[in-house]
Amino acid sequence: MNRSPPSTLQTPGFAHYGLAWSPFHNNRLALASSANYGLVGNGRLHIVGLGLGPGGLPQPGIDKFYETQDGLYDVAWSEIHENQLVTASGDGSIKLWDIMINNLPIRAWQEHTREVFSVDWSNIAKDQFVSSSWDGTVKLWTPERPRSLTTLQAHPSCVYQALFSPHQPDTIATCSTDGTVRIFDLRAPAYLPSAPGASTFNAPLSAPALTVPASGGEVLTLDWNKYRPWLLASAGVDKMVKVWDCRMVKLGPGPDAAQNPNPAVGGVCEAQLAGHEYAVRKVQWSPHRPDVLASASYDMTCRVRNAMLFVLHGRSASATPGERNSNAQDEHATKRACGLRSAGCVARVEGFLIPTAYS
Amino acid sequence: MDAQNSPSTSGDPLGRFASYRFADDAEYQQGLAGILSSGALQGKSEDEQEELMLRSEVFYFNRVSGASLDLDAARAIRNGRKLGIDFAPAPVAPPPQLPPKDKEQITLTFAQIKELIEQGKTDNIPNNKVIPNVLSSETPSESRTSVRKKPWEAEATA
Repeated sequence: MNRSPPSTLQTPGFAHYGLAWSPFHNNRLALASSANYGLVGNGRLHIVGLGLGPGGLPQPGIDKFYETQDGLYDVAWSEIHENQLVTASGDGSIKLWDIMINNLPIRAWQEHTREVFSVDWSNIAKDQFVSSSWDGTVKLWTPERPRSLTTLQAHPSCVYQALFSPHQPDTIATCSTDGTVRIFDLRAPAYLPSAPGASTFNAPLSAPALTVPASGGEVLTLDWNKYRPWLLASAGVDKMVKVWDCRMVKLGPGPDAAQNPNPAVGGVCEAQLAGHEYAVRKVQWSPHRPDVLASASYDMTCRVRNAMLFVLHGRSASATPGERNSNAQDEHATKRACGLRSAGCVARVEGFLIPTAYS
Repeated sequence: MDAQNSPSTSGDPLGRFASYRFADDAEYQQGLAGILSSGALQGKSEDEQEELMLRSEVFYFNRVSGASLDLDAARAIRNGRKLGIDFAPAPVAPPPQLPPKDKEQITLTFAQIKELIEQGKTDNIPNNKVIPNVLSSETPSESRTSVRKKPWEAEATA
């Protein structure tokens, strides 16, 4: 099979940490980059245009770039203004850029106390975006306000990504060093009661609508399926890409959250995609098809796969890292996530599951 | 390999090697980064580093072009056309008198940067300048493009 080589774009000295296609122009994308492995030094936001190269193949070129003090880890285009986009920086800052204005940002916010690792613009409330940080918080913003609208104490450790649901308003999913994926209802910000003896965390955690014990290791990335509203993919240092059915989530204002000391734990692991040889840095569902899932890894490969071919069934589903945890809550979660999903579950997700086991 | 980066009209592999822009070849640079990150150049003299770089270039060039260039021939032609900007390999530390523009293009290895940080010599790290923390005073542009439906939204309403 002879395939034409991919078009490449070099930005010497600045390695890429995130990229985003413009929601308005098919031939435009943005690259968030950092110098010196993100350890020290500047960042750059590149605006990239796709022209036509030799043989009619798309040829990317840098239209312009913006320099930042610290490395940039993520970028998100505005869903409402074709010239504007927001960046996440290692110094905790968030900046809004207008690509018709050179050199400088048009807004800046400094609330996060550690690296901001992700930004995501809402496609439903198109004037809002969220950021997630290594300080454990997720913040909701609108460009017109000088301060954040809401802060969630989402996890006790680094939050690598926070993403709006593409279907459900005011709903975000997060993933973290703590091995969990969480779903939050932004309309119902409540705090979890402090567990007895939980003196290690000074700040009380925000109450998630659902916690998915996704891995025994750090969860670096997640994505919402674009066609099945409560289906998520997650991946991270355990090298596996996992697909979660989270339809058991209960949204809504939560007197519940205050009264019920046991937060909702669940998520049914529908598929596990093995194959990556190192940690997986990014997963993304296709915007065009419900079954196509791409993942990029520190093993230098990007894999685009049909997630249906990796669906678990029967007992083979039982080996997830969650099982290594031994406390009662996790045991409960693991049972729900894995052990109890033999016959019944296949029927619950009509049209998605194909009973094919991959070890 | 685009036409621009193999400018020789003759089939002479030496000529093509001499003018080949390794700095623009992503695959070569990726392989080189792997070699550099293993610390291959650490503690080597400038001459030794140059020799190692040349060997990596010859190896790569022979592999992708099917040529069988010999190291001595490559060295001879390279020395003859030394300092041609086309094939100056970016990752080797250039002499300190080079203008700052070139300094910014150096890519240090992870180990080199770690060492400089530990020694407090962050001034020697490229791409580490002070960027003014100010906002633009210009008026932001006005949006003129209408919002598009996402592929999944288009399908839902169809």
